[in-house]
Amino acid sequence: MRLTIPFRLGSGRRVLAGVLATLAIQTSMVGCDRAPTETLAITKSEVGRVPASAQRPGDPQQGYDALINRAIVTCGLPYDAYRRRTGPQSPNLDLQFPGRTGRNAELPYMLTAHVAESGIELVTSNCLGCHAATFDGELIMGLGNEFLDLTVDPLIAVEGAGAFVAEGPEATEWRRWADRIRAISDYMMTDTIGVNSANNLTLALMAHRDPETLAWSDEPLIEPPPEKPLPVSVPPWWNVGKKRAMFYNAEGRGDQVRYMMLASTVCTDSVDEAAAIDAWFVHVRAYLASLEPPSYPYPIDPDLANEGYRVFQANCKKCHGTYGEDPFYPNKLVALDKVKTDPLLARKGFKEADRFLHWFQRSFYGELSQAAPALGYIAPPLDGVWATAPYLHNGSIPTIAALLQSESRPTYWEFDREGDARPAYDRNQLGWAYRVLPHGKAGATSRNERYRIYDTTSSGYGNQGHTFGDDLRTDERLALIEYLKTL
Amino acid sequence: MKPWIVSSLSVTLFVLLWVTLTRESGEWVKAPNPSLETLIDLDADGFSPVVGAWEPRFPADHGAHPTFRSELWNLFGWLLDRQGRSYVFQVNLTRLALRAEAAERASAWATNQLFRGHLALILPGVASVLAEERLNRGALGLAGLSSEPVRIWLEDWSLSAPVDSDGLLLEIASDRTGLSLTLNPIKPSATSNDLELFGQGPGSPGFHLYLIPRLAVQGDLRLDGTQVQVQGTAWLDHAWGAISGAPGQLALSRFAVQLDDGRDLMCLELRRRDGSGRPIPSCALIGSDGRVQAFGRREIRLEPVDEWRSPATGARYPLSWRLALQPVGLELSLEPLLEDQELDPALRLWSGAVEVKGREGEAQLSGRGWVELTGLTRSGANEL
Repeated sequence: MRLTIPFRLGSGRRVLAGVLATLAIQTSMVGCDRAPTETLAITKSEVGRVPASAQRPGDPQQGYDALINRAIVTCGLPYDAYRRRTGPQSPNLDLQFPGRTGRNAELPYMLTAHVAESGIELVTSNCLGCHAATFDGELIMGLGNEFLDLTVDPLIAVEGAGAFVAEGPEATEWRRWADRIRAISDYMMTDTIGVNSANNLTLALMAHRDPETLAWSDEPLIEPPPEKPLPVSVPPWWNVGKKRAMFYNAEGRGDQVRYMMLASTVCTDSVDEAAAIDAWFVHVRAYLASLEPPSYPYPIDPDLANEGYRVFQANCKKCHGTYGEDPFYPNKLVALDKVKTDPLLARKGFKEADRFLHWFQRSFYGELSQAAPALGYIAPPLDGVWATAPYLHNGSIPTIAALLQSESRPTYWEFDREGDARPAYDRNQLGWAYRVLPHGKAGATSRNERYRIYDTTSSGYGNQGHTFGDDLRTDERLALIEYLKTL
Repeated sequence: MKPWIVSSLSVTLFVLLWVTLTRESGEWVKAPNPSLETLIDLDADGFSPVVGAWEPRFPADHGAHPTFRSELWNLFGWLLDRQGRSYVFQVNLTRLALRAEAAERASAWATNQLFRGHLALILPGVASVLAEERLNRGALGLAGLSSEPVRIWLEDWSLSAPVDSDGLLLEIASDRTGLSLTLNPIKPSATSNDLELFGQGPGSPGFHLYLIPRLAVQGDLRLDGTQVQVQGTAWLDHAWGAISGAPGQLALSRFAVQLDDGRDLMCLELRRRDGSGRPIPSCALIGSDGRVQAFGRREIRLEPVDEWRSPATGARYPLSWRLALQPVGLELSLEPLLEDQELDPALRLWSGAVEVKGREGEAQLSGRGWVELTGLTRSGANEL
């Protein structure tokens, strides 16, 4: 007998994006450390210039092919169960990256087919649920998805998928996947739509693995991170080639490939399996380092942009670098007391995450790297910055205009949109249209309303700091905004 | 993926119909022996689509929606006679369309609709459930539905919505017993959207569902020729759409509670059929004004504290429960009125009445409820 419960496009899309896709992750090692003092040496960084470290070479072409066709997360929903749920046609197929082959060509871009050892074909999450997004309807590789809904309980969706799973090896594969999600689901639920929790769920995964063998343990082996994730905005991939360290606090020093493939900790249960992924992920990193930002799709006033260039050179380049014909990026890590943005992410990474740093250094993932958090944030490259709203590491400021004039930053806001639709792009302020709200989450009357409100008074969600634009005149700010469109 | 979950809310009794029909002794597969799968075109198009934006309209929506594939009415009630003796009833009506188009064959037996009715009655001083069943095709006047007046019937059983009231009329007759009850809503109806069970927000769950958690009941109960006047409260839920009978690897338990302080509680608990993993509960507390407060799995403690082994099937059921809604400090215990309320042994389905006691802070609470335990393994001992 076949199941006849129909797959609903609306909620299904939300679940696919929200659950499957977010399991492919990058991370910063931020957690709460109350474990006994570790004996292994852990490195902390000073603020200032991040030193260069050699990266393994790879073939960008091969990397692209692998990124869109190979599985980084090797457990998932059996393909037949997926099909029973979706019907013959996957949702969202109008958005697709070129070059997807075989089964992948019929799956949405954020899902990848993978044949498990049991021979069961699986549908798995990949990197692109978080690291690709649309801008005015066009799918852009590497653009952080700032609309992902991680307020949804992933466990309900994953366990619920069992309704479509047949007895036997299919059920075994589904249970394996569901058990992993069960272990991390409490660590990945945010209370605000749009912000990302990949860092926290990666730490939860570490807690369930022996660092040396990578063997899975249903019970945590070290104290897991706090359940409530700190909000993180997904940084664009096209800056990989410029950045000497990964993550907002620049703790990802050394070889970057294995930080990038930490998503595999969902299901990779041995060092051999991890090494097999590493062999092709070298090429993925090479591809990411070759990525270029998209071009601003609307008209730019060249004279105004020229004026803005002068404003930028005088006020911004020291930290954010120079662009154009002779680009230079200083890789500058700015101290918390200087940038003054919400300090929680950096502080917790510096003071309360030693057990995860320790885990990382003992594991295959840390063999070629030295994780070294600092009490500061990296001033990121600003290539394509017009596309990457909302701003700051926690996505607390909806537009560049608000970023450059701190008094105009909304305390409570939400995207101005109908349901799950994308808001309009605001070409004057550079960011997604938003509504300023008179109240925060405490004033919401429904759960749905509460999840949509960005409340900058919540811990870790603060929109303070980076007030360097406040001293600019209005005309200077307008010119600077015009210039940023050219990056 | 959430849609199926809400559908499971109503799956239980659909499963009953399904299995009843597919049993080897079932009248539908006994004859020339086409399998039910060939009788029912599972991929059939033509049924009405279920769209998201929907509000129930009464009395029309109390009746049948024959352009949808399947439909269920569940009524639970707790009645008292003048001497204060209690009678508990459960009536389940199910309709299943074989295909979207009406039957065109000349035979008077031709039909595209099947109906099933099930009655369970617990009488004062009787330590067993009195059960009756009706299984009919929608032909030959054996069973059917009408919209004016709103009515669904199986032989001498019927549920109707009189034009001049917002209530319902339930008529059940059989050799031993009979019910003639009027049911009037005390609370407004709540849809699956209102309940937000399992985080389900606005959107289409794949079928329409409303429940009326509290109705005032009045009428007569007949038993072996004696008529007794009764009154009490009942709970109604009604769903229609693409409801399937196969829960795959899953099992679902359902808890409906009416508290004496006027509040009602609906909880679902999702489990894996093989007993692995941890169950996931979800609850909606409905205030006396009808306002709904939803609770997620991290706010709920729901644990069985006792087990009962069915002498008929050997299946083990967790029957006594402790339920706590932590954010509001509500703690309840649910004890079965009778242990043996195994509704369908072939299915390992327990569906019965429970007595509810508890507290909220210092305040003592009491009430009554109904629990359904479904989807247990069909072979061997269940692994709850």
